[in-house]
Amino acid sequence: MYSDKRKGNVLILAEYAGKEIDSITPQLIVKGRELALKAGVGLDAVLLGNDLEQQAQKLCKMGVDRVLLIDHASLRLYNPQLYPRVIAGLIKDLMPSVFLLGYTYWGMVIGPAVATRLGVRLFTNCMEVELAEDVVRVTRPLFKGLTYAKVEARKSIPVVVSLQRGAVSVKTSPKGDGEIVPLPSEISEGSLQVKALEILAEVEGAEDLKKAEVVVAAGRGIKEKANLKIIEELADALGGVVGCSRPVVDLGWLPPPYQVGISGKTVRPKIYIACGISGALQHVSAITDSQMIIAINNDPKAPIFRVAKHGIVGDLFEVIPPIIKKAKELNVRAGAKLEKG
Amino acid sequence: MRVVVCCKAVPGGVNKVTLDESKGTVEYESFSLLMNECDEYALDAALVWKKEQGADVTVLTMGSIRSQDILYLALAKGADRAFRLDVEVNESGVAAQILAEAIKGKEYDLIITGVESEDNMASQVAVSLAERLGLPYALAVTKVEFLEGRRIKVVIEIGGGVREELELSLPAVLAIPSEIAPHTDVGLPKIMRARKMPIHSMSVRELGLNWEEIDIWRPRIIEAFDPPQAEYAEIISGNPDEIAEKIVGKIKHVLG
Repeated sequence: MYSDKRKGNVLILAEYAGKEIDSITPQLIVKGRELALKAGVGLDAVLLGNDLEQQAQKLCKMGVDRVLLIDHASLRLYNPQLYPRVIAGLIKDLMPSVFLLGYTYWGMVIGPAVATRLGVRLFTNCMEVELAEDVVRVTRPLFKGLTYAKVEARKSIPVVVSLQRGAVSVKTSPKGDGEIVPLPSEISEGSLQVKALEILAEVEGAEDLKKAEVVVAAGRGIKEKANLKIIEELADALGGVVGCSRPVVDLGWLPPPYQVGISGKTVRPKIYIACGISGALQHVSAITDSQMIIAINNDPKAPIFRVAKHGIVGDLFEVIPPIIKKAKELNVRAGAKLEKG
Repeated sequence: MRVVVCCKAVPGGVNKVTLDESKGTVEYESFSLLMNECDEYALDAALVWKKEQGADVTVLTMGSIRSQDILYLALAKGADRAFRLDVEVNESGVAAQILAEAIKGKEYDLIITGVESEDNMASQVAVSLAERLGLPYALAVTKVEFLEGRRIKVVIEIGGGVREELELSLPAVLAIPSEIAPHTDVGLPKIMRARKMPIHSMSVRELGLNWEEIDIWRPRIIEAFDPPQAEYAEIISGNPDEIAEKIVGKIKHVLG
């Protein structure tokens, strides 16, 4: 399928959301480039889907050498059977030394599917990866993130590694001019046992969470549904919106569109205030792109304090009301400047 | 409808994690083995299908005799039978390989499990198992609807809060991320009764696998350490009014 092979390159899986490149992609580019430089090879990104011209144009300016574009009508919707099949075909052809992807819903499927098909090494949910002569070493969490383990194994070709969102900090967005290489895709939809039907409309309010400059999020620590009121008041005062962690949705206090986390939404506000959220990895990895994280929790050992810039150890119901009062007094809120004209 | 639920026993209250260099694994203290949370969500869903349409529910786990407790819990909740593969596996790829060997050739319509285990946090088993069995699969399934002609319609999460609808032919493998069916709790009397039910156990050898050959492929843990603490938050102290003053100042600075 693809003649100019350049075997041994580093390959990353590019992800996008609508016409925008997803924030996991620059993280993979930064790590991918680091591995490629060490090995003296090139960095390729595979971009997979349909009608991807705009995404390809953006991606090729983000510091990859080549964008391998697989653009096909049958890939219009994500299909967990077809996507891995196409990627496994590309990898067999291209023989990269390493295939990097995000520990995202795409990556959780494509990583294990491709690695099992090709019978190669797979490490998922990694914070760090290094390649030596014969071995690959990764650092990944165990026991709900209580411990990090450095794991070593003999290399296979390729090694498949998925990186946790936020594991690589992107200080300045990678730049550079890459080449777009459209791949001739003869995609057979034959014998598919999975049919992608449609993307379901997002529930109302969901978009706000992703665009908001201020997100005030509630966790199990708010103790009961009625206490959401104080969270809403704080969000209102700061011109922001309310979000929550998974337990709040599981307990039925807020509907699923409000959930921030790997299984919910990834947010990148200017201010993220975590109220009574312990800081499970599944939540934390979806907020690390926030400009400033503030955590309020009565447990000083809560893992949320490891990712927050500022922390307040104390009772939510004593701490929050004065903040609301002060913010209103000083008119400190998102968009306040604009309002003043 | 025959459903196989793969449930993992995971250590609760893990403490004092240390490296066992010779084995390339970690040792730890733990008060007990519990059923992995999202595997229990999968079991709860299977038990709803049992109630609604008479599904037959088989529960399968892998581990030492200590992991048998979660099978008694599953039986007490209403599972029809329980199997234990008598092998301790730390690596997800190996787990999928052994599960595939145990399930291969059996009769079933659905295999379901949780998206991720709390101890290994790898999210590999469902997809890898399905690939090995040559079955269609869907990950992060939040809704299942049974259609005519051995097909199902499912809703999956695909990230960023977006959901997609898929249609799969059966048999298929589904991975469940969250509570998609009402959670059922069982009391001690039911668990005591379940303890009298048989658990079928099987060794790796009985599955026709050579453990030494499998284990040689296993990655080794070479270091175990606490997550980096260097970036611990700057704690703002004072009385609530002082805290409010300081924190609002910082927010103002960022919002500009």
